[in-house]
Amino acid sequence: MKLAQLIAWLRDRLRTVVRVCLGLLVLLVLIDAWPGVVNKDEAHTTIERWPAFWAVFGFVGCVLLIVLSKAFGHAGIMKREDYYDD
Amino acid sequence: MTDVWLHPAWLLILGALLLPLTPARLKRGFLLIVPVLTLLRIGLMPKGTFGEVPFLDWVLVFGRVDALAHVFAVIMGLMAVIATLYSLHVRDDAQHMAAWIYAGGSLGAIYAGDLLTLFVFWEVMALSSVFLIWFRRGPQSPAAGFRYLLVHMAGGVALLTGIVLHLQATGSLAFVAFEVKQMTPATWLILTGFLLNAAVPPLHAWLPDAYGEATFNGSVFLCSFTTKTAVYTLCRGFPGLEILVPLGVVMALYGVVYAVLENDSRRLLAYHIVSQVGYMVAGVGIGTGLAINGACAHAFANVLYKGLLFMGCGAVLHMTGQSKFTELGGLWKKMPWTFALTLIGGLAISAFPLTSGFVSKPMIVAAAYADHRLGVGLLLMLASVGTFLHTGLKVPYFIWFGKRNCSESTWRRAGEPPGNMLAAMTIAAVLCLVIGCYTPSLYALLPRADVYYQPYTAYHISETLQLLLFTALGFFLLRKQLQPEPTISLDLDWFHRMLGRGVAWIAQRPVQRADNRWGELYRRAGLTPLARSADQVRRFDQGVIDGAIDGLATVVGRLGGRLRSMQRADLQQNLTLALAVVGIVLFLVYRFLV
Amino acid sequence: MSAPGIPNEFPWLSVLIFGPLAAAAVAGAIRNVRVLRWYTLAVTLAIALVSLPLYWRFDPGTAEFQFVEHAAWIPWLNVHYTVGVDGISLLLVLMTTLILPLCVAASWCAIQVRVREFMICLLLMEGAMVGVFCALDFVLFFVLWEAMLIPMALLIGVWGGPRKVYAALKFFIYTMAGSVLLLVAIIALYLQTGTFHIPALMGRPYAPGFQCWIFVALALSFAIKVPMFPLHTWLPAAHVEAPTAGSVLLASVLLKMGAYGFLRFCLPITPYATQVFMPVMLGLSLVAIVYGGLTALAQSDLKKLVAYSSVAHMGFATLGIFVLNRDGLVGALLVLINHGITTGALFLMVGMVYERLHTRDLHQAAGMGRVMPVFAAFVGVFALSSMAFPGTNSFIGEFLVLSGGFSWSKTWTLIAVPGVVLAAAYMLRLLQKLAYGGTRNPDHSQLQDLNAREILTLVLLLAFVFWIGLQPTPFTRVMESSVDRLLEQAGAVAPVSGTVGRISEMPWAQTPAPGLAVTDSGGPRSNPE
Repeated sequence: MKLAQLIAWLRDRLRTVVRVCLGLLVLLVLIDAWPGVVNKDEAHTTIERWPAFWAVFGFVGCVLLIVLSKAFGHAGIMKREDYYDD
Repeated sequence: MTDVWLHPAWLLILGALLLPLTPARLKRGFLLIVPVLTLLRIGLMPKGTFGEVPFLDWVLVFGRVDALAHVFAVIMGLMAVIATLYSLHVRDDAQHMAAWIYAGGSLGAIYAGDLLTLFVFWEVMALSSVFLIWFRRGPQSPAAGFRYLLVHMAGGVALLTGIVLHLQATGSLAFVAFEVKQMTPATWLILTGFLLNAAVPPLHAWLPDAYGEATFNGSVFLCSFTTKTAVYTLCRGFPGLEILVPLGVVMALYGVVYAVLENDSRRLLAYHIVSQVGYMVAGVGIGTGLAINGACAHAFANVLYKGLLFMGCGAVLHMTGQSKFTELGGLWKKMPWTFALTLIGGLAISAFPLTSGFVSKPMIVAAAYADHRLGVGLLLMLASVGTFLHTGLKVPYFIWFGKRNCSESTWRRAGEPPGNMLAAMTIAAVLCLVIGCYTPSLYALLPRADVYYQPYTAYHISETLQLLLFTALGFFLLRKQLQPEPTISLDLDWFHRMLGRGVAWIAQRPVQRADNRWGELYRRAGLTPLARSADQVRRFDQGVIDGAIDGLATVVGRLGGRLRSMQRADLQQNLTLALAVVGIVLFLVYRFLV
Repeated sequence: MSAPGIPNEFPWLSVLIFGPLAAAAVAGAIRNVRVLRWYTLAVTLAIALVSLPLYWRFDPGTAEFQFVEHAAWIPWLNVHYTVGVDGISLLLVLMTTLILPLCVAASWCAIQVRVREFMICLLLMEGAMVGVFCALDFVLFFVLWEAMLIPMALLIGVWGGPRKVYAALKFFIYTMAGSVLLLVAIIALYLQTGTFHIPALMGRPYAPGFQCWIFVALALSFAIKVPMFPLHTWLPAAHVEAPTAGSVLLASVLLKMGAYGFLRFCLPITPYATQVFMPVMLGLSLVAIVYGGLTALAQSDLKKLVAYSSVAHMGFATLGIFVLNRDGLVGALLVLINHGITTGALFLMVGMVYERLHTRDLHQAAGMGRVMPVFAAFVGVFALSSMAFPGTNSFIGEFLVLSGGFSWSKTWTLIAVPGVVLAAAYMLRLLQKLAYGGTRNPDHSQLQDLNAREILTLVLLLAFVFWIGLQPTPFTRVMESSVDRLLEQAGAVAPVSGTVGRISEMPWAQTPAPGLAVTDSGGPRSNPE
């Protein structure tokens, strides 16, 4: 299948793909920070107007969610699979 | 009463009843035609009130058609078509029947103009959907279905009680917006019934429990109808109810947290339904025009991309027999198109630009900001982070990439699903993109026509892309932490499972034993003493009274014997003796008795 | 339509009462068992057909007794043969006549010994049961009430299960004890008023103390029959040991007589006492609803499960009766009819299970539905009806009873609500076990699905389940005048359509309303009318 071949092709060039993605991220931050490109009138709070606020929010939020959820899980609510069968 | 008005639900229900009778050759065509006809009927339905039927003291309204009902009915009809296409190859007629009756029930509830009709279709939905769980016929299925049905019956009872109380208080059964500023016990109970179907915590635990256990195609139906019909009823009945806002936000985050922990892909998606519905509930709670529009738009788009996600994972389940991450991985080689389509669903649900999620979900966030609820807005954005994290990243990654945990048989079975399933998924994916790119396709359907929203602003695009792509960064850096573990997570269903066991235990031990003892009391305290006292009386009777009489008889007998031996053979002497005795007796009688 | 004393153009009710009795006498002469079965079926069908015109010729606009027949019986004791029906008893009579053919059909293969005596018992019971519902003279009522006991005890004791003698005896003793109290009440009322004519006993200003004693005597007797908690323990034993036809008659008709007794006697004759004891009766009803549900949940014997569900359902009926408002009373009457239909059907189906497996154990019958789809479909519908699923008959009845209950007290009626959930729980458990079973079902592959006879017996009941559920008006229409009249007699506020005013304070807190004027009455009154 064509698609499978495409994915295989991309996986073979994984490092390049990664570099492209990272470049994209940097570009995004720059665009956001560049004055005048993005109209920030819609933002409701001052901190939202900071450049790359949402990038930080996204990254920190992601890390926070993973860490807190895992902590919550290991604190006791994750059980072996046959917990209810008795 | 107006002339014969064809309720779209009847098309589906009638189709369901006729299905077993269609010849095998025509079955596929039949399966496709009926939902399409239903969708057409929905699309061509004029606005107004139809189908009024008198019943006892009331008038039931089966067809109340306005913009709010219309948008929900359209998506339900659309989903019925897609999901039926998806399950086209399933040979079990009963599954199709159950699914169509379920969809018909949902349409009936959406078009219901009064509470009693709503209730009837509510119960029809509950009862028909449980079959979609039972038909999986696995070892867990009977128990899971039983739990599901019991929870929904309890919710139905709460709803019914609320309806009866409401009827008493107001004398009206009309299904209109309730007085949210003055909630009465009746409206609280009705709200509880709606919240249970919407899977609002703490009443949500049935959802992951059931949706993870259903058949691969049944889950596609299940995920679309019950919860979104409940959202409709909330939109209709309780717009602007303040408590829905915090509930919605909690829901949105709760679902996300549990989804991160889940090992089973379909249970993860089910928890995520809780999260998505949280957005809608919060939107209903905010109650402004933009918020209600947002809730409707989000529901519409959600049905499509959630259905797509369930279809993708359902395809994996169908082909490999596995749904747990610990049993899957590295399937990109075998099922690339399934991956691509599921990824589109994942992007849509995360509100990537150019997808339907981008033009619908942010409406609610914007409404929150417009209503000066900054905390709500930020928390919902956090939930969006989590959404992308597990549905856009975790699910595709751990099923199709990542470490290959498949067993040999799993790997061999894996492959692209049958054509109809791919076609259904493609249609859904295309719709997600079309709605995302051409917004009037969705916006024209929304109930509050006076509200204006433009999703494609530079700020919004930038905000979204930053949020999502940096979340992806976080995911890839931390993906070791997210490795699936073969566990289940305890949720509030612990309570109702234990409650169910508790009630059964109470019924078995104390109550049943007490009743047995009480019944035995009849024997121990009643019959046995009765028998014993009867025995005593018998002994008294035989021994004492009988004995006395016997004794007396013996005495008399002996006396008689003596008297006999006193007799002379001579007749004369006997006569004289007899006369003498009689004379003495008469004298005595005369003396003492007269 | 006809005032008492004016003869009817055709003695409908006497035909319904004496027809079966005469047929029983004829049946005694039939030797051939096959002929006997067909004969009994034909007779019961004929009686059922004869009873149908009662419905069409009934005038729903009046609360007077209709089709009244009157003949002198023992004039010097003022005992007469007076029969008639009103809105309350009409549907009960119809249910009795319609369910007998089904009982005969159900016993076709199940009863193989002493078939003649069995059919005679059934016919005798039919006559007596119809008579109980029609009787307007208390002595006549009592005689027929007692006359019913013996055939029923025989049904259990001769054709029953392993512990049949125990069950028959228990049934007999319990009901007899109640009957003694009933007799005492009848005689006391006669001494007070000089008449046994039931309509004449209503609405009289008896002394409050006297009323209370009469009520207690009557209520105890009827409560045993209903059966109300805690006098219910004879029911599971009787049901388990009885043959199928016996169980069906017991559930569908005999239990209704207790409730009928409350409606016909306690409410109109002793209204003051009814209001005094209302809290007790309502409390016991609520307990029965929850208690019956819990015990049903614990059962693994199919018949015991349905028996305890009867306790719960009759709890709803007595709840509806004693809230003394219109919704409650109409709902209670509907519950009675619906229970007769649904529980009768369930017992018929349990009988079908027993005929195949010779066991009533739920675990042994698990998974039958997989090889018997028609059976599974029927069980599904009747189970749904039993748990009051909307669209089925029981939903309307329970809805109205709950509505009436909420008119009386919101907080207390909420206790009944878990009972509805419990009903769903145990019925779903039954359905799930029977239809699907578990993972270790016994082997049922040899079982035959329902044959034509069995399907026919169930189809009629199925039709009623949906008819009453979707269009209850033909049934509620005939009740309304009589219910309104009953409410007036019971001292409730005259109802307006829908909800009614509460009976606000207890009688001891205020002077009684005129019409309930309590006087200390002396000897017997003169003959009324």
